[in-house]
Amino acid sequence: MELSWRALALLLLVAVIGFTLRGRDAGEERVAGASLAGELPRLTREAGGAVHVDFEAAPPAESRAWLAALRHAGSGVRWSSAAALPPLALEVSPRMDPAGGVRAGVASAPRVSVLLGDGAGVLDTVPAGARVATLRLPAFVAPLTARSGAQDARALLLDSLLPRRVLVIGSAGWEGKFVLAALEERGWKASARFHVAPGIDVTQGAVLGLDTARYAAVIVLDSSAAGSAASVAEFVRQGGGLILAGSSARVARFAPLAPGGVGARVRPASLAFADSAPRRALGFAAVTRLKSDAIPLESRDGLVAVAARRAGTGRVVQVGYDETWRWRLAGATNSVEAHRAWWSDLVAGVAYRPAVPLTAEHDAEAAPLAALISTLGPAADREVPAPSSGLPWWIFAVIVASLLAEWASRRLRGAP
Amino acid sequence: MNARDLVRRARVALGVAALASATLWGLAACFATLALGAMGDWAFGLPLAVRRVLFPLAIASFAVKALHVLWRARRVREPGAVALWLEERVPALDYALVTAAERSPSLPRIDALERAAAAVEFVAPATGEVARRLATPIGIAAASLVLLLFLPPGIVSRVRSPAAGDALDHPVAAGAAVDRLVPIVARVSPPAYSGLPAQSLDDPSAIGGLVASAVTVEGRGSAEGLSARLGEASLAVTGSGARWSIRFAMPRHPVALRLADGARDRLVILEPLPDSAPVVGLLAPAKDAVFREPAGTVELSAEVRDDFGVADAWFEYIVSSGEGESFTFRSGVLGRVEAHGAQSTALRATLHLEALALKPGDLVHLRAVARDRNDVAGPDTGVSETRTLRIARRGEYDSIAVEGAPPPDADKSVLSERMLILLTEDLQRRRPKLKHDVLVAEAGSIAREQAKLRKQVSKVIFARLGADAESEESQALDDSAPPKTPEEMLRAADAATNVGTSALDFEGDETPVVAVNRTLLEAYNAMWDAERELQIAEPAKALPFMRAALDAIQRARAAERMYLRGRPPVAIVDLDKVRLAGKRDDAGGGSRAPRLAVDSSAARRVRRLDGALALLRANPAAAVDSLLLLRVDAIAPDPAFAAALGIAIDSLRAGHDATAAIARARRAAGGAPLAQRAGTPWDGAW
Amino acid sequence: MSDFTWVTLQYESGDWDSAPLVPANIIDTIARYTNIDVAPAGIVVPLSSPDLLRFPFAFLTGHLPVRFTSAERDRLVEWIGRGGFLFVDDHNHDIDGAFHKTVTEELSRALGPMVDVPNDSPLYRSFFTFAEGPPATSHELNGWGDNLVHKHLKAVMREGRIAALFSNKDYSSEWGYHPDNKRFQSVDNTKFAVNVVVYALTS
Repeated sequence: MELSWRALALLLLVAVIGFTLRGRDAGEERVAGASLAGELPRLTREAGGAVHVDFEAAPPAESRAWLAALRHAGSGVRWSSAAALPPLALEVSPRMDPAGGVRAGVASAPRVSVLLGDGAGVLDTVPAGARVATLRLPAFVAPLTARSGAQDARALLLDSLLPRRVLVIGSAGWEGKFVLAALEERGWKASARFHVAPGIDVTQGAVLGLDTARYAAVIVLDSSAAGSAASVAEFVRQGGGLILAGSSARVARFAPLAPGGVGARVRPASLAFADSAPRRALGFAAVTRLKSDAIPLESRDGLVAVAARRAGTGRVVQVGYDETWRWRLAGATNSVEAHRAWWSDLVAGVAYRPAVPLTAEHDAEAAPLAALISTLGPAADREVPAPSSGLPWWIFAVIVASLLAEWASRRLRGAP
Repeated sequence: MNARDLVRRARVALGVAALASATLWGLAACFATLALGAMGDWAFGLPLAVRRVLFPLAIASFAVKALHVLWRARRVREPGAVALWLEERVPALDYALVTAAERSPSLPRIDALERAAAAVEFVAPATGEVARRLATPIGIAAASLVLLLFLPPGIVSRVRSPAAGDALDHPVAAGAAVDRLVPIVARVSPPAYSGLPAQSLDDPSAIGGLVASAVTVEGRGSAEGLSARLGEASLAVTGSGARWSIRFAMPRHPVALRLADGARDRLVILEPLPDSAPVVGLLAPAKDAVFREPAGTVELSAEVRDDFGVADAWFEYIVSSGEGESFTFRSGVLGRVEAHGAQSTALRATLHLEALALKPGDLVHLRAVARDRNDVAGPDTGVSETRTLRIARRGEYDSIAVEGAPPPDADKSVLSERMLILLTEDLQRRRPKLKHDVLVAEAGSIAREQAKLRKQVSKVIFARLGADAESEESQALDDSAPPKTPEEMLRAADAATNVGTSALDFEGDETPVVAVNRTLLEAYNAMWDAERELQIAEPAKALPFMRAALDAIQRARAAERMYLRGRPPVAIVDLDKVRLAGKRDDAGGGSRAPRLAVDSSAARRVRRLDGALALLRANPAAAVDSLLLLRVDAIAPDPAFAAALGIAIDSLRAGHDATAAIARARRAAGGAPLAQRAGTPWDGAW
Repeated sequence: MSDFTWVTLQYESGDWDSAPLVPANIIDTIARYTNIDVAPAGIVVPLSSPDLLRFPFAFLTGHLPVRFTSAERDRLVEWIGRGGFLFVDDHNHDIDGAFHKTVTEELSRALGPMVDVPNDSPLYRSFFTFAEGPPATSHELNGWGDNLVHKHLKAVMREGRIAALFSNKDYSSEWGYHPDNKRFQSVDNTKFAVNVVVYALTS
């Protein structure tokens, strides 16, 4: 009996030792993120183990994909970081502007500055904060980069926009003259039809059929365009853009497209143009009875001056201002350029925008932390758990009980 | 000779030796400094600022070393020290000389000491000691001199007289190929009128100077195979010996000078400085003025400034006489001053109003004018503000304002004689095609208008005399009215015509009515005749009378400045009444030509900048050349960007970190990235 | 508020008000032939006044020398730079006269060189067609002035467009009559003014 107790204890001990040794061989290996690229081939050859990577910054796409492949092959892959990796995302898209330029969006952790740069060097420092910072750049040398701490993000322009012509329709007057001038001076190609007398118009360009193959947007300045309302409405349904300025939204055919109705004209409280809010010196016809899908873009004293909405596949902006030319003529020092930029942006906001894909010469890495989490899951606890042998805990109790039983039996027998 | 004499003679000799040693050591230090500087320049090419310091440094080292040597030899003044010095070199003296020299002269001499001192030969050792001490500085000085003599002549001149433009004097290392493009030297000689000195530039990346300055660019090597282009124009490259050169005039606009030696080329930017026009300020009179009488003087004063010198300046006036539709003008100059190139000058003159023969109502416009000395592209002219001096009209200061006759009602307005002529001529042209009754009706209509005008003329004629305007016929037929005395008629005519109190000249027995209004009466009578012809539908016969009436009216107008139609009203148009009432048969509407995009050059500059920066890693030299050319194009339209770009170019060429400079240049070109308001659902203006 | 207002410029050096009937006559003409929303009366604006920036069209005439003050010159440069259109007419129709010489000097100094407007310019086709260029006036050969028929108008151009138009043809006299007198004319001699205004409003 005593022999059997002893043999049982010994056998169980041998089993525990065997399991433990095998488990130690199969435990996690810690790898520093900086040396990961060099270690990956070895980890791949020794596949089947577990690896825990300590990252200082999100790894590049190649390393990330490699780790994912390792995990898929059966290796345990976990990662963690001593300090929380900074979230960072960067995207760049072309602007609908004849002068070119791009729009960049940068998102990062709160109270963190991001260094924006490109292939030719540093551009600027952006205090992104908790919200997305949107910037306009006249041009950049690919790739566009953002750096937050040790984290880099890289974005590329994947398509470009080819602005098409703009059509301006209205009565001969200062608003038509200066709206058209502003757009052309900004680089837009434009056609125009200004009504002077019954049957007599001053035109620019052959005003051919309105379709998105030729035109990006139509600007209607007043009710003199009522005769073209049907073709304009069809153009918007095709995806074209429409700007209804002044009281043009009163035209019956335009009303279904417009973001709202036309209210009473509001006179400006002051005729002095302030740099910070130049359009406060302009009168406007308030946009009233906003439709449910309309977005008010500019309000003044509780009244909507500019509103936008989608109409079918097209976009429509209703502008209550009918004398923006006064801003250009009597505004602050930079009012001529500001007037041009504002009208160009209005057109850009509604213009039909067919994109032309571009060939990227670099690799993008727009949101490195997000990509890491998406591929490998969230960060694991940094503490390494004790390797588990996989044996139930009562085996130790059985071993102890067997040994105790053997000893008790001997003692009871009076043997030493 | 006793011991003291001995010591004294030794002191003199040592003093002379100390001076000689100080001088020689100073010269050695001076020559060594120059030689070291020359060696350094030969090896590394020292910048001009360093070479300019070499000579003063050599002088300073001479002084410092000489003073140092003299300081160390200061003890030669002490007899005891001299005696000790001798004792050290002649041990046989056994301190006898020191003892004897230091004994007080009041004590008796110790003959033994004197004999011991005199017996010792010390001249040779002392001489040898001195010679030994002088040998070292002589050797150093000589070695430095020899070194200087054997250095290439260019190096010596660069050290001896360093000056801008001596970069080419630096010799090429033996066996090394001559680089014809680096370094180059540019010499800029401004036009003579500017008085500016010529300047030389060593290896410049940009050459600035006045427009039309003579520019010479030189480099090492022969001219063969070297080409030079100034913008699109080729320049002749001439060579003299081991140097090539090109000559040209500084152009009006920034341009790049491209030098090419085989596959290599080099760009140099030319930045012309414009010559501004003179700035003229009129100090007196300080403001416009009105004079009651054309008498007196007006003091004129002005100040003139110019960047490169004023040539001459003067006051200019224009006298305008007349009113209404008839004016005459006279102009003149006074107070001309030859400034002989002074950068500022004062102008003074006195305007005598009587000399201008001014009349009431005349205007004098005054200003100061100046020209600069630019005899190359100018001269440029600067002008001051204009002052207006006016002679008041008679009655201007009267307390009672006399208004003109009230205007006629719109529907009773009167056509001018000229317009009646046009209507009649047009009727005459159409006459062959018109039916008789139409001709009669239209001619009658014109006749009625002619009658209206005739009555207006009669109103003017008889209103001057206080008579009833409608009484023209009764005036002629009714002689029973009591005649006015000549004095009464004169007063009435004067009150009506306002021509002063001088007597009128009557001819024969004609009344003042006729004399004063002769021309108007001629017009009146001609209108009668024209009206008569028109009433019988004879427009061709009416026209000569109408033209005669017009001629008379114009003469009367010139003589007495009258408007027959009175002062015109401020008319407000009844838009509703006339809207689209006109015939538009010959109207077709027009076409508008597109406007050009403005600031497109700014956008191009941004793209060119980014293109050049993209080249930086792959081909830095090509990138720098592209940036140089961009800077040339940006100097005129965007000087701030050109300046920022210049700093970036200089950093790149010097091999420094240009990150910050490039970032500033990009910001200057395209503006800082513009932060939009975040979180809006509509891309565009918001 | 009307869109188009006829502005007569008041300047300090001369008789700026020498053609007081022109505004009403041209306003009448514009209303007769077009739908342009025109103010029923003209106004006078001092050249140096910031109020000039409220009106993109202005007319300047006179007989006497024109010498701009620095304030007038600066305002003119600013106004033209922002898109203003200036129409200047020599009321003397005399190229040897002081008005012509001084105003051309002032305009050139302030705005740039003046060039002849070619007779096929859009100005002569903007509403009515004037195939042979600017219409002659009845004053050019009236014995006063320079007694010349001026074949071209002159202009300061900006990017290929007329910014300041200059006439020696004495339209101030030609158009200086009450608008009601048009009914007596077989040919309206103010039609060219419509072209000028339509050109200014649409170019």
